[in-house]
Parts: sequence; C-alpha cells; structure tokens
Amino acid sequence: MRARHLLAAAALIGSPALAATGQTATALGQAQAMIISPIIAVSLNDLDFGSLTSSRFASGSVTVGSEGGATYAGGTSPACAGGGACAGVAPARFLVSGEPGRSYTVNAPSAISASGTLVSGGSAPSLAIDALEVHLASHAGSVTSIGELDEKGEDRISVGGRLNVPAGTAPAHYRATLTIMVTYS
Amino acid sequence: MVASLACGTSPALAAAPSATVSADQALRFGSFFTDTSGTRTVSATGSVTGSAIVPLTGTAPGPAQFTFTYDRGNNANTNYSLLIAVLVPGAASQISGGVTGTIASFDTDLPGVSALVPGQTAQVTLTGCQRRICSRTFRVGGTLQVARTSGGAELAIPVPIVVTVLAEL
Repeated sequence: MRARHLLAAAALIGSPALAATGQTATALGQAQAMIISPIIAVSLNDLDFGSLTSSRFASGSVTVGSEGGATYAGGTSPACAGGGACAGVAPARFLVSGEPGRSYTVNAPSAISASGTLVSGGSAPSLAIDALEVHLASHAGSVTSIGELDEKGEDRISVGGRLNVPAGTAPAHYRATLTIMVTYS
Repeated sequence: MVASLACGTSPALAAAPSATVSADQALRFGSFFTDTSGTRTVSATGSVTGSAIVPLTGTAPGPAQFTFTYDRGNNANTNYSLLIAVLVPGAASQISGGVTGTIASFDTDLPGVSALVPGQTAQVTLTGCQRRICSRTFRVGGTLQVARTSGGAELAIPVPIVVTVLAEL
C-alpha cells in the first residue's frame, strides 16, 4: 500500500513533463509574383502620303491603307513618275514589345491635323487627316484595338489614313504627329 | 503491484509530443507591372493594395496558408492551450535579372498578432485544444517591394516559418 501511494504521486508530478516546450517545427512557404516587363511601341516608319498634286477647282484626298497601297480621289493625283503611287507612300508602322503571350490594347486617334510649310515660305493652312485605321499583325485580316504579343513578346502595328486636300491647296510640306498608346489588357 | 499501476496510468505510456507545420498555399502577389519600383500588399485577410504598380490579369492574389499541428502525445481528454512562438527568420528576397523583390513585413491572422517582423518572434496562445491532436490553420500576408531596372521576372521567394511550442497551458 505504501508503494502504491508513492507511484501515484510520481505520476502526478511527472505530467507537466508531457508539455512539449521547445518543440520546433519549420515549414518552407513561398511567395510568388509575376512582374511584367513594360510594353513599349517604337516607330519603325512614318505614315507617308507621298507627293501629290491637287486641283485648283476640286477637293480630293489620298488614302493610304493600313496594309499598304494608296488610292487617290477627287482632285488629287500622285506626283510621281508613271502616275502610280509614289515609292515612299506607306502606312505608319510600330513595333510593340512586351511580355510574351500577353494581350494589349492600342489607342490611336481617329483624326489628326497636319500643319504645313509653304514651299515659298511661311505657314500653310493645316490639312485634316482622318479615317485613321489601325491594323495589328496579331490579328491579320481584321481591324481591332486588341492585340497579342507573340512568343518573342512582339507585335506590329500599322496605321493608315486619309489626307484631305481642299481645292487650290498651295504647294507645301505637311507634317503631323501621330501618337499611339499601348497598354496591357 | 507496481506493474498494475504502471499499466493503469496512461501518461506514463504517452508518446513524445511533437509539432509540425505545413505550407498549404503560397503567398500570391499576382501579376503586375511597375516602371521602376512599386509595392503590392496582400493581407492575411486577402485584401490587396498597391502603390506605383499596374495590376494585370493572371494568378489571383491571396495570402499564404500554413497549418500548425501539435500532437500532445497522449489521449487525455482535457482542455488545454498552447503558447507558441512564430518566427519568420529573415527578410525574404529574390533577385531575378533586372527585378528585385523583397518582402520586408508580414501579417497574419493568428490571434493577438498583427505583424510578423522578420527576425522577431511573435508569441501566440492557441486556445480550445482538447484532443490529442490540436491543429490550427493560419494565413500570412505581406508587402512585396519591387525594384525594376529592366525586363520582367517570375519571382518565387522562399518564406520559411518556424513555430516553437513554448508551453502547454
């Protein structure tokens, strides 16, 4: 009987030792993030309407397609040998670079204004450029403002438009700024 | 007499207590763009804020999730609490190309703890343990600071968590 009491006491005293003080456990978690490289558009060449003549009596226009080619209407005609489109006529072209596989949105104005400098000196009345059309290589054959960067993270944008030439426009050089903006979708 | 007493007292046969922590889910900051530097915070509760970044589509942001499990080593049916110390050993960072990502601060939904400062232990009392196995799932958020000089990067930053059982109360 004496022995039983002693053992019971020992068990009671021993129970705090079951508390796992000092037990340490480690887990290796992870934090993940995808930092996307910036998207940029670099101009490869300008939207060029070439050299043209205008009628003194009839307004006209020249339209450069976003995929190339030019059409003349009304009182305008190309001022190049052979009567065809001038060699320099071309849509604006941009190279877009960014994260491969990402879609993006391009914003471009629908119309801009070209300011002129008379051949004889001085400023000429501005000319309107409208019907600006954006074509994305990633969406060949369709006009859309949403593109997708290829496996190299690239896409190409071309922009065409129509230059409106009033009757009697004096000989001048015209220049306009065409700004596009690309952003990830 | 001695033998019968030993058999009838279960604590004498108890296994050694043990503690484990498992990483159930990563801390996900998602996809975003920053020009030169920016921060994105994903809290333990899942709220997401950012500074000087542009969030983009991709993996949805969310806090990390860990599960702490304590095996007291015996089947005694008594309520108990655990006093534990939680530690993130150091600032978590990674350099990948022209991108540097650093998580300098963490937060958690463990009771009584708002921030987990790397290198500093936080003491937490887990109440309501009753069975032999006491388990708690907790979430950890953080603020990712990104400095970018060029390009992009897919960051996978190790986040070790150390839990020490200080006392069974």
